[in-house]
Amino acid sequence: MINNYLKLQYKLLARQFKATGLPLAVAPFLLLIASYLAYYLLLQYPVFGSYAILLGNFQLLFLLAEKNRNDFLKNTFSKKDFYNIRLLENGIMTLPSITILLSQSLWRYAVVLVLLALLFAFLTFKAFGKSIPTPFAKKPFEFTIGFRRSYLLILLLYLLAAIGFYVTNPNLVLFCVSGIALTCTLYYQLPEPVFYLWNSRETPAGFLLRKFRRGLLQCLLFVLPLLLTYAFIFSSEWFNALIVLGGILFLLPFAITLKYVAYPREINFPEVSVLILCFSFYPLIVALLPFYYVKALKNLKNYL
Amino acid sequence: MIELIHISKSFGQHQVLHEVTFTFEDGKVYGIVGENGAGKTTLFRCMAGLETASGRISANLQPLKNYLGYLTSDPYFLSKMTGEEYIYLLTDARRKSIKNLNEKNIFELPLKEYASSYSTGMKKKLALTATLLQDNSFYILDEPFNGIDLQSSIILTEIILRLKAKGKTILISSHIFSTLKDTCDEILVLEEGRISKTVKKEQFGDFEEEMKDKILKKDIDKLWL
Repeated sequence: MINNYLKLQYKLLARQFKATGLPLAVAPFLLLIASYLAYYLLLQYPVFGSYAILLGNFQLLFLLAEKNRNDFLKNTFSKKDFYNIRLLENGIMTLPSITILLSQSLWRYAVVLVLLALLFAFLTFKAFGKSIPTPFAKKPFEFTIGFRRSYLLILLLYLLAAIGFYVTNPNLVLFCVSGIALTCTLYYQLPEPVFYLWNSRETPAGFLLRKFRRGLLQCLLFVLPLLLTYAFIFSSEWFNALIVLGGILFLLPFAITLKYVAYPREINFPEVSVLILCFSFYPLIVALLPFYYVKALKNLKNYL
Repeated sequence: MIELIHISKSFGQHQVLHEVTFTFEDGKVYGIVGENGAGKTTLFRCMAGLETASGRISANLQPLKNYLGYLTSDPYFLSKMTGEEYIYLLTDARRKSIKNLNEKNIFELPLKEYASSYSTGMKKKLALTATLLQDNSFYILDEPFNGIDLQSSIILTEIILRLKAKGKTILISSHIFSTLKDTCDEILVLEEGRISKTVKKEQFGDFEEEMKDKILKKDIDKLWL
């Protein structure tokens, strides 16, 4: 029974991967590249890399422990099979990261990850009946929905940043700010129904500029308190805060632009590749933004 | 005023609309009736610009979509979006700012809760509230009475009549004839993508009888009843 369930999961994953337009044979190579990148990250920055890996896994484990999903599994399988499946899922999900952490002798982080995987197999995260309040309610919808999906991660990053201030570790604070900004860009992964866009009275340019303005303001609401405190506490390193802020000012509009280049489909392999490329050489964003902006405008003309 | 001139629409080999021509005048309520698959929703989507079609759609306000409120037959809500946020999203898209939303919540919806968790009727009422608050000049209401309770039906009928009194043009599709009888000035019968008949208000009674006769004679005798 569990075997069939896992086979079905594999089929679903394979189907999702094929939907990106890439052949399935490429998947193991991509997994290897991702593992190597994580390994490289750890090699370069053992502490921050470990935090990044832990945070990434935490988010995945959290998603797997979602209530509706768990309810479905509980209804379908016996209690014993349910826990076996959940343990297996969490094990498969965290195994690559645990291996990488162990390869660098980061025992402590590996043990934390194993414990998290075990713990999350027995946890279910209920969706709140009432909505989680957000400061973005009147300006929907990316940040309202995104925040509700990632508030634990944001809280965790804020907590880490507070630790960074406490132990006088400016890099940890900047890492958290970057993490929050990256999380905000993920809010734009979700394409809205065409009907939502149809309602808009804006021209494509007006629509995009409004999205940029709102997105940046809402993102700044998260990161500016941290950056200002950073500039105040680590006053000799204020320029780093400015660089990170500059990065965010380009990153978010770039993510929004990519969303509407891909629209109405979700951001997929081509757009993610461009983003990865830009992360490896950040100034590329500045160069590519106008090109993709024009592409997004052309695409939006079909819907506005 | 909205003018449809020779509107045709096909999905692959299947032609859904055949040269539909009609003029919807200001300040009037039109009912569109037809069997499932007759092309009502496709016609609405073409008018809204959500589907491309051959022919011409002209209106005294351009672009039409910016002045058109469209209540779809099956409104879709993103998960983790509250009723209140949906209303703000749709009104904000039309640059309308809403003050005292709670006072305007005439269907007494739980606006702070996630819209995706609403019942079918509540979803319809939420979408309708948002569409109404956009304050449009034209309205397309696709099956607005479906799934809503009696009290809300009475409210909705009154809303339609008040919109008409304000000079708005309203198109309603419904399978519930009594609601159309109470609200419409004219009913268009859509059959296999063609307007086969238009019925004026004074002919509604005869039309209802005619429909009953046709349907009952055609189908009910086949049952053992």
